[in-house]
Amino acid sequence: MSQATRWYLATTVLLAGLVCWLAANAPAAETESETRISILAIHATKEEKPHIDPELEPLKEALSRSGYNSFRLVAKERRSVGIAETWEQPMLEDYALRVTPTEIAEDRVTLTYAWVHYEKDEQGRRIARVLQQVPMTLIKGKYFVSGGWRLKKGALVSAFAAE
Amino acid sequence: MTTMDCDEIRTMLAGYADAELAALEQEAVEAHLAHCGRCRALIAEQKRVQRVLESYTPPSVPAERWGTMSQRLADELAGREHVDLITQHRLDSLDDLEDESPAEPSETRVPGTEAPGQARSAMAHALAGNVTARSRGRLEKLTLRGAARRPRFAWVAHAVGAIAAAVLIAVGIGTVLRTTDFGLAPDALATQADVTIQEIQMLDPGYNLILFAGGPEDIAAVWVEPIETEG
Repeated sequence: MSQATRWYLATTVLLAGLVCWLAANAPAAETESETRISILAIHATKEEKPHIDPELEPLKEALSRSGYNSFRLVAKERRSVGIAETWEQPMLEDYALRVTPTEIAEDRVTLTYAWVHYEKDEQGRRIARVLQQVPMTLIKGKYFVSGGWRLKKGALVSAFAAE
Repeated sequence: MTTMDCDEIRTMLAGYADAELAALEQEAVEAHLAHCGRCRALIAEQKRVQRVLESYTPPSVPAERWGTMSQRLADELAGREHVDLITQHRLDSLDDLEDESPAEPSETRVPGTEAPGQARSAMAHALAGNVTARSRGRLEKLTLRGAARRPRFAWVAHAVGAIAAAVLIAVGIGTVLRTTDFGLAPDALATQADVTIQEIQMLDPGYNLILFAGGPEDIAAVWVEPIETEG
């Protein structure tokens, strides 16, 4: 190994270490006024041969109560959301889930989630119709499951969590 | 004595012309030349070229002219920061010359009457005599400095390249980490103890609400079920 090669390697290792150190010690992106929320969109169906995506296995117990036997993850999103800020995550077939944090504590988040469905009014304009609205408090790091909304085939389910 | 053909004889013609052959070889060549006109013509041409070379006399250069030339060369070398390979070769030649010829160099040893090969040696002697020890020492330092500078520059270039490459890699990794959102793995399911629902507003009359109340350790979920309409 030549001296130049050793120098390349040493420099790269040092800088990589610096980057890792900075990443590990960087201040959290979120402040007290915002939290990071993850939303999963799940398509539930009844099939002859039950199926569940491997990523959804931890949610199997909750999902099985829906009356469906097959579950596929169709979307997975994560975003920082501030207090009183609404994140609307589009789902399947004109459904959407809105999440609005109202209070953020060290271990829990108080928020309101709402299921909406986009439809067209008499003038052909696209309007959002709120189907359900739930204010709640959720422990951070735990997924909460909600859904059952009718699709052309099967139902729409969502799981969301705050960090 | 065996008879030789032209090819064998021609390998010995040069030695014959210089009178360097053994007696038997010389007799064989002469016997061949006695009856071979082409080989006689070759040996005649070779002897003619030899006479021309022996009669060559290099042009003479006045002593003061020679001294001026060597001094200008020395000044030029001393004034240049970069000493190229030709200059280095010249200096090496001077060193070799000094090692081989301990006799003192003389500015008055002027080429002119020497053979062509000797003229070159005489020029080197003259240079050795005119380049002072001081200027030669400076030249050597400059030579060493110039030689050392090239690898050092290459080292710096390598270092800068390595740092630039590492920074690019770090920026790339950082960008990927910043823009990629891996999300929270769904490995923890909220139980009813983890959730406090203040209110559930059902705004669509086409669904029934289903709630589970299995206790604090039971999972927390809010389901809806479409109301089947008859017809």
